[in-house]
Amino acid sequence: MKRTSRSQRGFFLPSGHLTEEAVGLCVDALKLERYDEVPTDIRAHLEDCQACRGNVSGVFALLADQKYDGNQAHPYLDARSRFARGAWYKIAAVLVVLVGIGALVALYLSNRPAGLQRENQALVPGQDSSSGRSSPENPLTGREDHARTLASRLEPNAELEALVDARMRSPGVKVLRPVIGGMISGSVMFDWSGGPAGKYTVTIYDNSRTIVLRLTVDRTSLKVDQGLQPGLYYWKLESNDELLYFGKFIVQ
Amino acid sequence: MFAPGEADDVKQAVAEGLLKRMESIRAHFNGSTLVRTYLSVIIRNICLEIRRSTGTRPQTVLSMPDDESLTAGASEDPDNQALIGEVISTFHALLMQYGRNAPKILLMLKLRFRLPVSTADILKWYPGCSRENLDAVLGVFGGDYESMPDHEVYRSMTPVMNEAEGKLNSSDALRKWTSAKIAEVLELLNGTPPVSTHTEETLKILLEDQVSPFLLRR
Repeated sequence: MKRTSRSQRGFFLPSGHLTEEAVGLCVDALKLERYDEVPTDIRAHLEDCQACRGNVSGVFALLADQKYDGNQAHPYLDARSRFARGAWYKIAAVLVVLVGIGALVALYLSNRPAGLQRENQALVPGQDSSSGRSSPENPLTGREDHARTLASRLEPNAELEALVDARMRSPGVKVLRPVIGGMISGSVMFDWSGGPAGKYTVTIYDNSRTIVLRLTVDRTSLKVDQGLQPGLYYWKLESNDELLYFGKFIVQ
Repeated sequence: MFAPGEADDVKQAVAEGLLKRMESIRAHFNGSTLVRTYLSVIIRNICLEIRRSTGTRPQTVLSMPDDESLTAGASEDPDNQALIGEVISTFHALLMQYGRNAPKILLMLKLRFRLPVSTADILKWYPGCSRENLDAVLGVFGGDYESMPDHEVYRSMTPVMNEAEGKLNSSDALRKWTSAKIAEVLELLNGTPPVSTHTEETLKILLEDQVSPFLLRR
């Protein structure tokens, strides 16, 4: 809500085109490779408006030889991150208070320790995931994970990055999807060909190297229907304990 | 945008333009962008106004390095490499602005220039593409199809395109859409007023193997 009102106030002219400041913001975001963080209404306008694309591209080309320091805080993009982080902390604090109150009420009513009552939000596997098992430390369910900001969930993991696209002893395996670094919303489709006959194990890690999901299938495709929070994920394909492929994808 | 001999006059006119707009800048700037970027936007707009008011003929100052200089190892010249980097970066920034349409534009540009299409090209555009369609498209466009006539290219691609978009367009409509996008991309790359001389050949070079990974890295 706040983002929309800010955007409407300062980023659009009465004619509907982008203001000079909005053009500048888009150029900043492109230079800093943070275009996804530009407000949605500005990006939607650029998709449709050639004149504004011309302005943004013109200024970008003008500054093509200028280096932008990604470590320097940006007045809008980083201010929003700070807001988002602050909002998450507030939400987490309210949740902790609510859980505490709930626990006290439960203790009072049932005369049982509140700690015995646990949430059990198991991942609902997709059509191909009936044989799967998720890690007991599944980050899909942990409250701690909810408090992590989206930005932190998108941080590349240096060790896992080094393994991306590494194929071991099976050069014949061809992974069709997910594409390395591909943006995915909704179901995640895993699709490969050319591997050895037999069962395959797909393991999904989040960017903190925690196993999110491990599934064994006897075909060359797998659909994970739901449960992955937005963030950067790595995955590996194995057969008979042999690593066939290591890739990564982003859930929007 | 201007001839080198006009530099002093333009500097003077820009300084006057900035002074005139100082109040407006103070009233409207709310700090959402870096000051140097904001000033670049304003100065560019002032320059465009000067050009419009004086009817100055635009000067072509930048052109794409030729094909040979883009081949691996051919260019050791740091200036040339920097120029190539800037063009790639500008092209990438331009594509980003097309948002959801960017993968489709990239794919159709590759078809237009008869460049091999990869699995990533297809799935970035149509993530729900069936295995059969994927194999069919790659079977036709995954290798060498240099000699395939235009109408055959669009005729082969149209059914999958229609399936992806839930439309019933003709292959001619797809051809026209592609031509319009190429013209638009070239116009944006060259700038308004034109300050570069990019052509369809430039686009083809940009899309060839050693450059396209930059465009598909996200």
